Amino acid sequence: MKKDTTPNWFRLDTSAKIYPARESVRDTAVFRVAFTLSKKVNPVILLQALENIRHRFPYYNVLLKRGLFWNYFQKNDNKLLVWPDTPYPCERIHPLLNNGFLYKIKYYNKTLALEIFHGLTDGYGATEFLKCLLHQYLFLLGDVPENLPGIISLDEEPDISEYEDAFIKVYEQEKDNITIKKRSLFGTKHIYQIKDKLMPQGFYNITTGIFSVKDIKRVSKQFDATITVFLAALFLEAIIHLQVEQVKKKKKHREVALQIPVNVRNYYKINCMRNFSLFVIPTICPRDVTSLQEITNQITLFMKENLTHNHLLSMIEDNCSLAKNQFLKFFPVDVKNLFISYISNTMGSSQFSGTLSNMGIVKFPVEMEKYVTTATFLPSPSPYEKCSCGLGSYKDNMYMSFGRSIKEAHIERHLFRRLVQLGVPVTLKSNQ
Amino acid sequence: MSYCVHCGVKLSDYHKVCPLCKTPVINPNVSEYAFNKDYPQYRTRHKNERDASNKMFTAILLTMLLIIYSVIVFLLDILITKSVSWSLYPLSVFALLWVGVAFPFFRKRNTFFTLFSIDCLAVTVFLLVLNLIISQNLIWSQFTTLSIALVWFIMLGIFNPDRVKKVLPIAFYYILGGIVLTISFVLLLSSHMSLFQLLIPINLVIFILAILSYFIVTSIVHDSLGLIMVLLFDISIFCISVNLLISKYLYDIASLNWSLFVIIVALPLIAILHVIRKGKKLRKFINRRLHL
Repeated sequence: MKKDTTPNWFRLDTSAKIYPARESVRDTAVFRVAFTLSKKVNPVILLQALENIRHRFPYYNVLLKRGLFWNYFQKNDNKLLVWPDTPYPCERIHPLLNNGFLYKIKYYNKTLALEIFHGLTDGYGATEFLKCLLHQYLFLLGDVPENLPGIISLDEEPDISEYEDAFIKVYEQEKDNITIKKRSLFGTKHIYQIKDKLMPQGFYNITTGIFSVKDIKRVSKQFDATITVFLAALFLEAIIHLQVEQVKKKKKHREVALQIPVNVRNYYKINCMRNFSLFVIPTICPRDVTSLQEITNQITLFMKENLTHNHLLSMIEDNCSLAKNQFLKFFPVDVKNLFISYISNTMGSSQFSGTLSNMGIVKFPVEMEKYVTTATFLPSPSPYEKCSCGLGSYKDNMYMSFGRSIKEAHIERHLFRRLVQLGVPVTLKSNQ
Repeated sequence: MSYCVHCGVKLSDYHKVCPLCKTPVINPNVSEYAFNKDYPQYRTRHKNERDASNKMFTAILLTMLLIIYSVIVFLLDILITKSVSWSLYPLSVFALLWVGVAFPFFRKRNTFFTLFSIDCLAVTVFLLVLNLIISQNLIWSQFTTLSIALVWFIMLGIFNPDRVKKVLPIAFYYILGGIVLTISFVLLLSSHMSLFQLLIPINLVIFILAILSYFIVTSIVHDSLGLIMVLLFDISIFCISVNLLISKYLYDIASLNWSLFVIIVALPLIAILHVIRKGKKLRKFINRRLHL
């Protein structure tokens, strides 16, 4: 038997440190990746598949423990569980009720879903994990061969690069090249946030719009933008319209901003399975724009300026500042958590009106493709931005899933109607 | 497949209304069970059930605080005096506090009148016990009990007239009750001429506190923890006033003795609740630590 060389405990990576501090029933920090299969999911085989891949993902099968100065993850040897799906996804994961695990594998009819605490990983890691689980599940059913390219192999040991803190690694390598000063912590802007009353705790309305990649590409080209930029522009346009509806006095209109996570693995050629995403926040002043084309142009310009090597480095430095801060280092973890939670809620979440998270293209090996029909991605609920969106494309379709903690579907309504107006047929699915 | 006539989007078969604009969708070709939904059915959760975790959190938090206080006070008494003596006062105050403040959070459904009745009963028992502990017989507590009975009697007629009407007409209820209570008062007063020294001042204090609390609760405080703070404040002021009035009546000197224990308990509780109430992060933190 091979000797287990992976450590028994892991530090939380740099950007994961904020999640245990700010996590609550409303702000669950749990996001979801779901695949719809061609056949009904068998929970017994699913659990067996999960058990089979357990050793390959030691960094996900962990307990969140409280240290003196920082929280840490400890190896979890408890029994694994799979759960029937719930009407409201992305509920808070209660470690005590989940054998200490910080993720849930859920099934319902043909849907296989992974709901995972953001402290463990980001969208990329979650997708790779679920793909591996699905492959193992299909292998146990006898539908696909044991090893397939593009799927994490169970024969290999987890590489150190998969679970090391990529932010610190890049920061250490590149710290001499940082030329742009980091963002000021106290230079916060007044950004418009949706004014609607929150629904009771635990309620999370999901609306998924499905449209053809070809159609959206065609329309985006008309606006000289990429798909993400175009959809971000539509999102911001919807927020601007909502602000006009909700705030009658023009003088009181604030800027609108969208948080767009960027997967930086491709920029630094790092195969990290934990958090390694940064955020860019394009901000639009409603008085400066009159049309969708102008919003699109502004976002395109913003992306060009901000997604450069230097800007990314400055953002990484910004991310590492908390972990590297010598003053904060020796405060007890709870004091730090209070501080982090305060900073995150006041100066973090108030800096944008919504989130648009693009998971990118989900690709499966040809052998698996016929067993998977859809792939959706859903960001975590938040009481601050109230409406967030997860984008993902699979085969010829694009899946745009909105999750909202408010009753009215203001943003979705405007955005999907606009898409239909622009000649993109949209099909809707929802939990309402 | 159906289309929403307002939004122009295609809808999955299971949609009875458009999820974007709530326009009803009528598709006669689709039978109700002929499709699989993408998410499981909604749970029909009652409003009270939704708040259950929050209520339970408050109930457990308050009960734990009171238990800790009680144990500390009880142990201190045993350590200092080697017997159970003065700790009976704070312990009875804790019991009253628990009934008034924590017990409602354990109940699934609370109405104003049931809470009011429970509180009346608790205060009556508390005052009777206090009287027994202080003087081994019931003197002044007879008046307080009768006063509380009078207030409860009036409130029952206002809040639950239907229940009263089942037994006897409302006018008869008030006349009969008034006669019974007046006779009781007269009988008591004939033995204790304490009307002006005790009864009227105590009822005046209750009246002023009720008016004051009403204005605070309707204008300043809007949350459950704030309400508890106001209640605790009321209890403290009430106990101080009762203590001063009784000592003045019995010994001709207005001095504070047993009410100090109430203040010692109530003030830190008010301070703790204030900190929890003001600090949203702290509340979240406690919530997280207790995994509620």
